[in-house]
Amino acid sequence: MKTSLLAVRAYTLSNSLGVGMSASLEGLREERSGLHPCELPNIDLNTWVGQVDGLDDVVLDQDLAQYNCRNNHLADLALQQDGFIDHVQQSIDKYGADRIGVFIGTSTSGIEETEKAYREMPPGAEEMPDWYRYRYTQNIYSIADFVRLRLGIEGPAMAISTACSSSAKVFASAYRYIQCGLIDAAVIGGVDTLCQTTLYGFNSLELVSPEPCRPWAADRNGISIGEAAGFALLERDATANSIHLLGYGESSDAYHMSTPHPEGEYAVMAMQQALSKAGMDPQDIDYINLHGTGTKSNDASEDKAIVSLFGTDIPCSSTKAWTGHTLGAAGITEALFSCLFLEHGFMPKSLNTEKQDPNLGANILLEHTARPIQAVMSNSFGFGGTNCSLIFGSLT
Amino acid sequence: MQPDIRKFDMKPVFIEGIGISGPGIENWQQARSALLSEQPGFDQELIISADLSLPANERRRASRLSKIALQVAGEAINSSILQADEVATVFTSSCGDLEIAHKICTALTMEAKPVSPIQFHNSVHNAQAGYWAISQHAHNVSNSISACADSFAMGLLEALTLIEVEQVPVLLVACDRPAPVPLYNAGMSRYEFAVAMLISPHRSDSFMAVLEGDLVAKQSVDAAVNVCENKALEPLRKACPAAMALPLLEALAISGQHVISLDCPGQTCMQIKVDVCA
Repeated sequence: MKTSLLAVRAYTLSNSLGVGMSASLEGLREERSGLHPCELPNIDLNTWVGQVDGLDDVVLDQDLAQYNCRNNHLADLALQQDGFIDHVQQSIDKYGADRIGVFIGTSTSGIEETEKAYREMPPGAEEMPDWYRYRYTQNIYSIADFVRLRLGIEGPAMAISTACSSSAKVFASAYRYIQCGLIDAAVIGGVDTLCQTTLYGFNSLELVSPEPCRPWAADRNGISIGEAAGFALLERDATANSIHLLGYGESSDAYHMSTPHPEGEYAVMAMQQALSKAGMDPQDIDYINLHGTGTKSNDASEDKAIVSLFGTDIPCSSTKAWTGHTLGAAGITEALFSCLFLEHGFMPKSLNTEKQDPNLGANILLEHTARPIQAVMSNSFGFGGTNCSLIFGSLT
Repeated sequence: MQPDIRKFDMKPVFIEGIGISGPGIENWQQARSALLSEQPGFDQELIISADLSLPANERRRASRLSKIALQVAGEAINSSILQADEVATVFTSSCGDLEIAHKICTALTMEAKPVSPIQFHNSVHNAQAGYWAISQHAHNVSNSISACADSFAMGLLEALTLIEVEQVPVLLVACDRPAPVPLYNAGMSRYEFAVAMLISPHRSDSFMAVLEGDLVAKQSVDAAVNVCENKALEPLRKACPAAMALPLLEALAISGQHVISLDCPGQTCMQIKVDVCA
């Protein structure tokens, strides 16, 4: 008998596959990647990116105008999909606006505004341009504050920023707040947008691929970067068809700032904790959505971790070749993909992985597989050695 | 002794260690008198003097904000009977390290865009958590958060939820420092300040204070929110998000029972009762 930690009452996703859930579902089913050669202004790199169209056209409400930046534009666009705002309003009516918390993951928030200001300023300038608003754009909390105000929520709010595990960890924090009785429901999510800092930063580490990324392939040569937003409304009460958060695990590599532990020892710790929270054994998991970035060392480390805990039979795939690595939004994107797979009964192939690296042992799906599944694990790992594993499932 | 103003929903927890660094503040021992002084000496520089236990590579690469965070975290652990690998961590900072953002954004204005790979991996908001884990071989759950001006209060609340649900001691570290020019005036900090509190669900023989915290509606709080009793601390508190810890630290410096309130986002406020050992 599986026990729910929290029910996922409503969710929505926007990424390079399109805006709203159905765009993601169709893109995945039709094997259509959201990656395209990078044509962003001010980026002169030979790489592919997962870009969301139309972000420059978003106009924020007048009273939120000072939050104007690409990251908050994407949040604004994403929140308006799939009736998400209405679902949140129902929870506000039910519990009260101050009994709902907001937990949003991001890695770079609105740093693009700071990049823009630096480009505009004369050398040696002592002040930022008049239009620049640090607190409402680049500050890490900007995105959580924007989401809180946009939804009319008056409860506690925070941004979680642990690099590429940020928006996986929001599930664990929200669960603990609800468990302590501090709030009755939580809006959780993640938003990260394409900017020079991450593209040139990953490029400086020689981790960016000149082609679309190919996780687990022998000739994989780095990541493709994408932008995405995803949000979910979490409560104790479930509806008949609810997907549930069943387990979570969080750990630290304590190994290196930008390279994962070579044996994936503490990724295993996070996965084991998630299983233990869920009261499940490895064989109870039907499918694993890998962190699967497509770099040599990330995939090798995660492969060792998966094989040591689950063996070589469990179906796995990475969805990074669809959306790109969406960094601070990767956790929520893939957690909510996992909810989609549970709801629609299919396990996606690892796009672009034509031939699996013979040195890697995990069972990587090279074709879509349609069948009912009951429990999915989603992995997110990041710089600073941060690891988070989540388990989602139905209660039947 | 003030009467109990309300029943606290969360279980009492125990402060087992404190670390602090700031302008003219070297450690908790010295801070206890500085926090009560009419002339706390905030015109002085924060001094990094501790051995940070970092391997040579990481010591060379860690930013000043990370070193400040590690210094207070180390003091809090060393003043307790707990080991770093048995505690969870919460790192909270309004702004992270804006000196790194400044260096990266400056590099991005140049033709070749020469972003340093070390600056880039140091730019993540969880850099302090990463360096701390490496220095202590600490593998436990760790979170890195921001809530802008309310970062300390939300960090403390995050720590309390971890303690209550996971039944694990938590090392809470709050740190902020000023941004360099031209970001200086746009940024939110005028001082370097960091504080660490080691908080446990269990009482050891050497606990320093009992703490009870809860989230309440802002309008239900009559008492002054955020404000320090010692008015000489107010310039520091108002000019550094991490120094929003000062009303709590001030209470912890005086034995007896205190109730303080710290602002949180939206219509919420954190109410904290501390009973400090003599």
